[in-house]
Amino acid sequence: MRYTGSMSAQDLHKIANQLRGDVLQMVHAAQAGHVAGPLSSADLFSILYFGGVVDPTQDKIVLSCGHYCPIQYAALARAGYFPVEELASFMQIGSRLPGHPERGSVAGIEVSAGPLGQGVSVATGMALGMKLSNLKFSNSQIKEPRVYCVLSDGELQEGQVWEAFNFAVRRQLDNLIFILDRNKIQIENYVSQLATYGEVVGRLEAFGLNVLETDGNNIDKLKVMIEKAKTMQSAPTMVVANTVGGKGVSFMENKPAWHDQVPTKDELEKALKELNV
Amino acid sequence: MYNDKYLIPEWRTPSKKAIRTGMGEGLVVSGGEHEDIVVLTADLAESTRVREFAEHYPERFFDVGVAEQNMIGVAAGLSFSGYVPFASSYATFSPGRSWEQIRVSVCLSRANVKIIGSHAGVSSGKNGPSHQGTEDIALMRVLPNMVVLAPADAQQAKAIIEAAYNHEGPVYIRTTRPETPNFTKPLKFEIGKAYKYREGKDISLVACGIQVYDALIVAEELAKEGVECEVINVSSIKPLDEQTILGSAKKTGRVVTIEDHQINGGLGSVIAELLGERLPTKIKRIGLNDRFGLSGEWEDVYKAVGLDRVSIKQAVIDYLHE
Repeated sequence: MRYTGSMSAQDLHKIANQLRGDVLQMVHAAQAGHVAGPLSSADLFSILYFGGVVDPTQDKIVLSCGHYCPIQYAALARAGYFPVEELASFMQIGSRLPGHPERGSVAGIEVSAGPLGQGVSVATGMALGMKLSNLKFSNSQIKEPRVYCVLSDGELQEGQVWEAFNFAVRRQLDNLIFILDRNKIQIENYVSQLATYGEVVGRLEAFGLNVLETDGNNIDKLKVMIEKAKTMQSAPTMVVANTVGGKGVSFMENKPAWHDQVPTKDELEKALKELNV
Repeated sequence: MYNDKYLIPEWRTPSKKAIRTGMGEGLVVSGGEHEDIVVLTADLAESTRVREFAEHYPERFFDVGVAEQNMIGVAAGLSFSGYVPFASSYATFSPGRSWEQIRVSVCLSRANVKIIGSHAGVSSGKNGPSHQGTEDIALMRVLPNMVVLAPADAQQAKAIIEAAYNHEGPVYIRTTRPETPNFTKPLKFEIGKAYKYREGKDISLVACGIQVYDALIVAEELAKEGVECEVINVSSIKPLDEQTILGSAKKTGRVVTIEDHQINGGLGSVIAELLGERLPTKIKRIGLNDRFGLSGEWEDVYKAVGLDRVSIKQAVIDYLHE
């Protein structure tokens, strides 16, 4: 099924679960890949690709936490960027859907990612380039294009991310919107067990970002926050989306083991039933 | 015997200019012609010589602060927004510290990013080995899609900017700190071409960077002793002009490589790999042999590591007598 037109919150929720189902089937078929992050961010991807907040004719969506790619592939396919059947080729030889994103493998994959932190800098450079080009047309009524960059909370442990924040704030890139999928787990453990941040919001604010915090698995709330982020000025905005790792499948939720565990056939069937897809 | 197509008439008594300075001049020239050129640095505008570009085109210049990894990512992003970024730092920091960003954000993505590594080699002198980029050729040439260029003088460095701009894809440009002979004619730089500056039948001296001029002088001295050297400037390390190297090795049967870089992974490896596969030839590699440089006046450092002309000449003579 391909989705078009204006979507209600209920529609977006349904799409999010469909994307979750796609992810689990891809990972099961490939017998590899990541689960918890793609599931925790499914509501976000539903909003970004189907919620009408992003202008696909000029805005760019950058996935910095590259291991989330099954959810982006699923969203791109369901949005008509390539045939949905192609999702079955995830990670296979000759596929346009490699294990981590490679820029241009299919339309809509803007950056090569996987080593965490890199996409945050690249998104910053893209937003800077858009600002620079816009200067030339400052008298026109052209709407400024934006970059939406999705990152994960384990990713915040990479120093490069904070280098990029410094620069994006210094350059006042208010056409740059970060969305942090804060699912609180990473490959080995809970984020809080591995690297304690104190207050994430406070740290981000201290770096000069506009910070908005919300429930990232609540379609209505998250959509409102992203819309609000578009109105923020003078600095890039970070939407801290508090989510649950493995969201939508009871036995996968909030368990670090499901970061990159492959569901068995049995588990897949159970999960798809829970997701109602 | 000397190729006056490439060498200026007064090449034996040339003026001096730093290779980094020539590169900076090239940026101003090409930046004036191409509005999509942008320049980045990580708090090293002055010493990497991109300051002049910044003064001419401030709106297209970005100092990211001391953050080389972010500099490379931002450069990749700018290229995706339609610009042609030149990102400049010391070679030991970028590509040194920013290697993985160059690998994934630039090379895997085929981003149209140009990377300038200044203060390459032990010729950067007094700041010592932590600041001497002596592994950058190895780090860059191993990456798929990357072009690796090491100009021999300021004139070539100036012309390389336009060549790098015209090449769609990642390019690494190696520059050096000291004032060194500016001995080549102002010509268009050709990526993938090795420049033969002297014809000889006895031995091939294959060099890059500052060492090309030294090779010419050593060849001049050896000629007085009856040894005719061929001198080849491999300023395009990747892609390599294999035909010119193979033709010379076939003629002389003896090859010496000279570089201010680790011979393991550097020009010495490049030539050894080519000859090993295509035309097995015993070669001598002059450069840093699995050691760091040291702090000091750069000419003194060259003496200490065997890169001064006297040492190079002696190494060539020893090799001839092996």
